[in-house]
Amino acid sequence: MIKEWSKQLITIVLLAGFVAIFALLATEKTIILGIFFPIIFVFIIIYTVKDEDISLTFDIPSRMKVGDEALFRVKIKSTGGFGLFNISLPTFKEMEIVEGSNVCLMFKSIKERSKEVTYKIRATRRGIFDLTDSDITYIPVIGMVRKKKVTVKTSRSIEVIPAISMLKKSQFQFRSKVIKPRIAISRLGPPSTDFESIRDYIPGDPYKTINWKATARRNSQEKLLVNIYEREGMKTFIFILDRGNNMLMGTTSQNPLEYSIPLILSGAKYLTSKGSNVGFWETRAFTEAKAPYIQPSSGGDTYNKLQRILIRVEAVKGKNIKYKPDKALSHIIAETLPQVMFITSLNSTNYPSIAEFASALISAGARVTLMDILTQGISAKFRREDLSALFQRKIIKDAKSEIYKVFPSRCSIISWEPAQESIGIAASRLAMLAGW
Amino acid sequence: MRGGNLRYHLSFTIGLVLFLIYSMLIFLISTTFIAYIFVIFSLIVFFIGILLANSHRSSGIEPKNRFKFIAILLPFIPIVLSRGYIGSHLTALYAFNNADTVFIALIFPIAEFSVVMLSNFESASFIGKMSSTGGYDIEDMENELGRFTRTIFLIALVAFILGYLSYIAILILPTFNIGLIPAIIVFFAVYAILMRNAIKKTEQQ
Repeated sequence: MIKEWSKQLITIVLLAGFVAIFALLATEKTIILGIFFPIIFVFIIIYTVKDEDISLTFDIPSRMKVGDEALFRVKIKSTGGFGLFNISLPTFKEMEIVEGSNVCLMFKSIKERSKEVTYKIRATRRGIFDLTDSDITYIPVIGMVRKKKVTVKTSRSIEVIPAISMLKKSQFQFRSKVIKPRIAISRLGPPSTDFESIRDYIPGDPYKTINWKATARRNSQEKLLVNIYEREGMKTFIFILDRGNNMLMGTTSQNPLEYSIPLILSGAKYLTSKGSNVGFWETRAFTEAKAPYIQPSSGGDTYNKLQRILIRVEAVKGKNIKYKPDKALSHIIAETLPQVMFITSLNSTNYPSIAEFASALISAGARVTLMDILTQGISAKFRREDLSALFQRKIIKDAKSEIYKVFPSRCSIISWEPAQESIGIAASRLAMLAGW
Repeated sequence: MRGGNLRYHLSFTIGLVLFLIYSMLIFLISTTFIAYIFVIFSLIVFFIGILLANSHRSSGIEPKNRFKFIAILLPFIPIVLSRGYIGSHLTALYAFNNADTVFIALIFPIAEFSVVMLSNFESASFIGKMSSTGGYDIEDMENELGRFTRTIFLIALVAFILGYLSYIAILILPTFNIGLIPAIIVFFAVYAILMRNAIKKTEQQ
């Protein structure tokens, strides 16, 4: 536009020059009239232009759920300049605009101008995303050389929390096959004041439980000792999330990892509301020194901690995963004999290591339920013409039944096809098998 | 550019109508054959420009009449040839020497206004075309371009009226009644100042 209009403007000015030359050649006074119009026109445009001045006021939510639609409202105000503002307003990764547009034009004439732009955004994936900056290109009416680019920093982020299914007791209509007392006293619950024993400190232990005297007495070893108090509480459940490459099959918003997060959160919400102790671990790559985890406990805080971790969790791309319980997990399993639910997606390459991992958990004392998220249904959404859904299912079933044979008999396995089964139904199947 | 959008197609219509008025007035007032020839030639050039622009439109390029400036300058040729140094020295050009050819100069701002409106349409059309693929809200974008063309139209209208008022002032007020050569010198002085300021402002931006 700048080139277009500038060319026009220059040509208008040149027109006045040509007319002046004609007037000179013809020595005709009337021709002067033809000079006035272009000169006055250009004069008005040049002398009404001020330096551009634009400000943006954002009304943008700081938190939303996956799948929710949020209205982004931006007030644009310009007090200076004479021309077009080409404005690109903030968005973030992993979203789609469902209504309106984040790009707009605004023409600022001599008078002050303000405008409100609204657009609706749907979050497609959980995470904490930085909003992009607003890019403004000012195209002045008299811009003869170049347009001007201005970037207005947004300096905001948006937290997209996973959408969870609120599970109800009535959803679990059938009795669990696993015979476990619902309100059995477990060894892990809120700590009481009754001293039980002393053991080595493991990361995650509260500092107040460190027994400094006992540690000092054992000064030959540089290890802290902590007091263990008797705990009372409900059953203990530990979710373990696989972060391997296998969890990325599909798109960024539809893959086993993204499906497993609302499943874990829905389960944790249900279990903590019942007073059970819920813990969380995630597998890590060999190159990673540590990964966040949550020691089993109950209450809203546990759920909030879990949500904070799961908002940020990402799969490890292109690296080998260490399928081995770490020290803290081994301690907790030995202490509490929990029900472990390992969420993964088995394939022909990772199943031997995962089977070993399941055996190690069982040997440590855990009851293991493995949830295998099937990816064929997700990919069939995008390549439906490849094979019929029925044919695909048969192949998967046959192949998976061979894979499942490798796992120890004490490890219960359920497969979940997210493309065909909702989180609620999957969670209820998991609940029955894991004895929630 | 979508059809049915009158907001800035209006500037094209105004430009076209003004040019036709300009040509019609020359036809109505002129009594010399020479003036008719140049006006007809000017109209032909103008419409060839429009036809060429529309033929490009089908290939995805926005309509742009590249001959509009040439078209409006063509009717000046008989005036230049019939008056001044050339007209007085070449007796073969006496046929051009007619008082009503000067009338072309008197209505010339109408043609200039026409050209400004056509340029206005072409610029808006160009932005519209560029923005139509960028995910803009089409209605909002057309609204803004409508504001743009309206503002330019108003400025052009003010310039048009002020131009005639200035000319009348020169004719009526004796203080402004200066000779042609001093007037041209004054023009070039004003022209130089204006251009200097325009370039200065652009550099600041």
